[in-house]
Amino acid sequence: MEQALHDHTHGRGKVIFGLTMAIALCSISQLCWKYATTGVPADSTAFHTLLITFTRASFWIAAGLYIWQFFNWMMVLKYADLSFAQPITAGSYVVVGVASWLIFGEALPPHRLVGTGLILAGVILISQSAHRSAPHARSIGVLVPAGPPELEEHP
Amino acid sequence: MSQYTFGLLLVFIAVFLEALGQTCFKFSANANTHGAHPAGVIRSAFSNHWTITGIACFLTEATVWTIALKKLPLNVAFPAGSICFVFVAILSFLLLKERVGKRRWFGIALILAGVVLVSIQSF
Repeated sequence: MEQALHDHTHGRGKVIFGLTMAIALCSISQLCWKYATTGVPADSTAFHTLLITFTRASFWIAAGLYIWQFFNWMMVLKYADLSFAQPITAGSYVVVGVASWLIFGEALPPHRLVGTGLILAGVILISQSAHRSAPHARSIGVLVPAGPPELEEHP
Repeated sequence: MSQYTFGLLLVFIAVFLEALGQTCFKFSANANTHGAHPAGVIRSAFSNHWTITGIACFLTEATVWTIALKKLPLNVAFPAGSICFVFVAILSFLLLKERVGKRRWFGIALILAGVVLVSIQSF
């Protein structure tokens, strides 16, 4: 039981740090990517758009942040459930929405504000659940609420 | 099949690949015995096939998603793509044996409703 409780809360700090980083890295790389494409003429061909984008430092910053995010994400998944961590990254929608309004002057009409609020509420709600299923749930299935580890070993 | 329906179909394929890729990454993290730091993740990627399978899923997804975006406006593709949260929860339940629970499902429902509202161009 002590082992189960320990496992249940193990790595909480790392998960909180990793998810904060995930939201920040996703948001900043999206904004960099968008910034890299600003100023590309609207009538450019796909090839020309790519060529211009590749010469922008902001594109390479975004690419570097993606690689950082990969390692950060593998760390998060080491300690947290996927069904806990993945929806929390929707927090980046909130950050990108607000930042697009502040930096790029994109419109933030009332329905978009309400939608952003709902996303934030969903993320906060999920963050209130335990970040990790109890160990027995991982091995013998979610319908069995508790049981000794012997149950896992069928003859 | 209209371009629109075909585009939506591609979005669902892309999103399913995304959820599958995430599941592979989770399997990779569970199988990782070398530590959660970057060096451990790289060593783990060479000792099990989950990381590379996950990356392959994401690369395929990026291709399918790009084609889908050519068929659909972003304010349709983006909310349709948020179905990903549902796929990830279902695969987490079925394959990873995680307890998804009411709180997470309700949170996902709130996020989906929010994404749809954000994507509406104007009333």
